[in-house]
Amino acid sequence: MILMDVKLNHVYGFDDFHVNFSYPRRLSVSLIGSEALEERKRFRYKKAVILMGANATGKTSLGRALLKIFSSIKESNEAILRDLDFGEHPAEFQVDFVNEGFILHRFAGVVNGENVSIRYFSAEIGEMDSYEMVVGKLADRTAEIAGNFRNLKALVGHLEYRFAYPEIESSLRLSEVNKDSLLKTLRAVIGTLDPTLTDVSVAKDLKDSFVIRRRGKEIIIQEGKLLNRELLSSGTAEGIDVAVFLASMISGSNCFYYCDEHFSYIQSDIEKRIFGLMTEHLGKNEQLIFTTHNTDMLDLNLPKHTFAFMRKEIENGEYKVSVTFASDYLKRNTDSVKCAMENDIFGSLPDDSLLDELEV
Amino acid sequence: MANKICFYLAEGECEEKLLKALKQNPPLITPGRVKKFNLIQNELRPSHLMTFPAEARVVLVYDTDKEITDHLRRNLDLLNSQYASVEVITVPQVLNFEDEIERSTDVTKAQDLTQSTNTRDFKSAVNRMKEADFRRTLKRHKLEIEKLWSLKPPKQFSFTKQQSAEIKIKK
Repeated sequence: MILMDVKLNHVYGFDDFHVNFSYPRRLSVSLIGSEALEERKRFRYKKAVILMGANATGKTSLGRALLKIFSSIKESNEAILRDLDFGEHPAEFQVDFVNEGFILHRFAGVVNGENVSIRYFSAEIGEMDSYEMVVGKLADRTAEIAGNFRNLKALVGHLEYRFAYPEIESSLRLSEVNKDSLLKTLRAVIGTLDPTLTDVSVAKDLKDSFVIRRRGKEIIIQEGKLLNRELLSSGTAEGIDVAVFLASMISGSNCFYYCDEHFSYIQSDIEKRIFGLMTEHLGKNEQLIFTTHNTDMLDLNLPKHTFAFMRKEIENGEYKVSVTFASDYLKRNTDSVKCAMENDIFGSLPDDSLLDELEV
Repeated sequence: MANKICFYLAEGECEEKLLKALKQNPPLITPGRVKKFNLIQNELRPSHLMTFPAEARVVLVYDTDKEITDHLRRNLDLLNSQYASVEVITVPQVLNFEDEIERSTDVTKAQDLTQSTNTRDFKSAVNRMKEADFRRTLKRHKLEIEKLWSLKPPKQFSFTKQQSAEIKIKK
């Protein structure tokens, strides 16, 4: 699944929020490889996005909103969308995405308390079409779904996505991950984070469980829950989540991934390396959104449109969140994204003036 | 886009807004972080100095309408001391924000820029504006960047130079 465009209004902290994941020109060289829909070379999309921004700019909320929207389709359950609305104005959303085949889907809705009204549009992606061209062809098929989410799911198809959230998902979802891939990934990631943890194996007596042994002690990951977490350092415990996520990328297909700040306790170079592995394992028609606060990530040799910055600005007395991409400002290959960010070209740095009051 | 870290320490909110407006695309000044800090009234603390990486450029924008220079002198000493290995650029306003606006745009009184009735309202109006809107306003009033921050500081500030040319992007 590929996310092409998102509009949110009165959803969580977002008012008139818009982000688009298409890009205009094909790049001659990119370490991410082809960033276009398979067999549709002009239908370009940002395959990997590193999303940065100060605290409370909405990185987590964006993922949460997308999770609710996609879950409502996957589970054919409109009640999931009701969580989007908790303000005085009805929540409005619109997402454009590609799932199976060459169809651009547009799913839009208004959530007002218990009332959920939805609209659905779609268009075929022609061989030489760009995203913008297909948007012009979108046809309203709302009548066909007749407000029924099962009808919607039948038209959209089965959605594959994986969201990794330290704050939302406290347990690890192992069920959809290939066991061999996970074992291999756990050994590599955990062994890198803590060289004393080399003995990782599948538990013989427990279902869907892994055992990490160290000096006679066993750390067990059972049915998606990490038991005796206290035996591990914060970084290593976080590494287990990362390993599960990475393993799901290795074994998954046609999937949309949203990895939200999973590297708070992990050393910067390791984060960069694992992100590199994630992009390497991104398959055709897949996409990764990766949020982080680590500015070292900006040194990665990636296309400028990979780097996105969320900012919160005050407008008519209200805070508004927007996204800007490094490619909007930096045009030359020699321009440093990190330097531009440190010079606040993207307007994404936090205002620390209140801290001045604490000066001695 | 020069790959050098640059920090602006701006006298007040209006200067902060002006610098951010001038940074908008196409930039008229070297991009950099803008922080409101009154160098005439306050002294930089170690926690500020720590945030300036080695070889960063620190641009000081301050008014020269009051004959108080003690803090500014101390701040310059600190920035030029062993505690901070940074390049310091001084940009004195002669004499203040309103004077600079009148000199560099087509308005005779700064408050005309925002159609305000007095200086206080003018400053509030500037502070309320979005940076892009302020930039448009400046353009509409024929901002000449060469004339902005172009005068030498008055005598009591002669220990500093007008170095705004260092931050202006040449066409």
